[in-house]
Amino acid sequence: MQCQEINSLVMKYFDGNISELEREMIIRHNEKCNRCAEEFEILRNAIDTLEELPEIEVPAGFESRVMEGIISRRA
Amino acid sequence: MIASDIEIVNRCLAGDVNAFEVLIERYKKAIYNTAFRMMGNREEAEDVSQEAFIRMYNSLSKYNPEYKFITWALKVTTNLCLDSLRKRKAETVPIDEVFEIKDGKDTPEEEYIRKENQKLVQDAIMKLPDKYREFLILFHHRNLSYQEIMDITGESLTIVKNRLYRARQMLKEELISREKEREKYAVPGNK
Repeated sequence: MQCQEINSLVMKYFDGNISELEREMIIRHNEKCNRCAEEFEILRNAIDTLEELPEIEVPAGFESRVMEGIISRRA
Repeated sequence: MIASDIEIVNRCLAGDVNAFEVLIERYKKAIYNTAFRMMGNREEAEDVSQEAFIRMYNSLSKYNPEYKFITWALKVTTNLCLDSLRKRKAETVPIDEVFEIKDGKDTPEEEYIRKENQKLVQDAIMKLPDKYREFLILFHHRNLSYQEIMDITGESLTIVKNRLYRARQMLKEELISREKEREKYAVPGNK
């Protein structure tokens, strides 16, 4: 399989929409192609990190400030 | 008994302005975090989130209960983010770093690698065009489905898929080019 076709499968992989057979095709291709293997690892690492980026706390008093904004614009 | 979103919307529409506070409490975290990942810093994230809730309140009569309230709320928020990003001068904007403190399960080395990764990815997604960053955040960070992203962005399934494909491609290229830069300046033999 050509690198370009593997790239399309890799995108399906990250869509979470890939068959077992297609997954095998990526693995087999990457065993022989260092460039695709490296790019796959870079993207997998990035997507995993993005999925796990921490949620941050909303600043204290947020609700009150929104409610003040609503009320002042109604006045 | 916990009131449903639509019950609260109806109470607001009937004149009970304070009922809206329940919806803010319910969705502020998702809204603020989405704005934070789009804007890259807390100050603008708060401004955009506040404005988003005020606009939601002022247009509650336009809310279509066929959609989940959060879908509509994210639509208002991401539109405001895109508007603000179009208006701002990029070079003046700080990017706030936020790191997760794990409950002591990681070794200091693992912790360091995770922080570096988070910083790298955070910086790289801020380099993407806004419209592409939006899709990556909605799909991979907020974990939304294609359908939800279609409802939020008003785009077709084909465009959602294409834009996600292109966004990942751009993210990969950005990271590869950073890696090459790093190697260029690395001390030989000290990779």
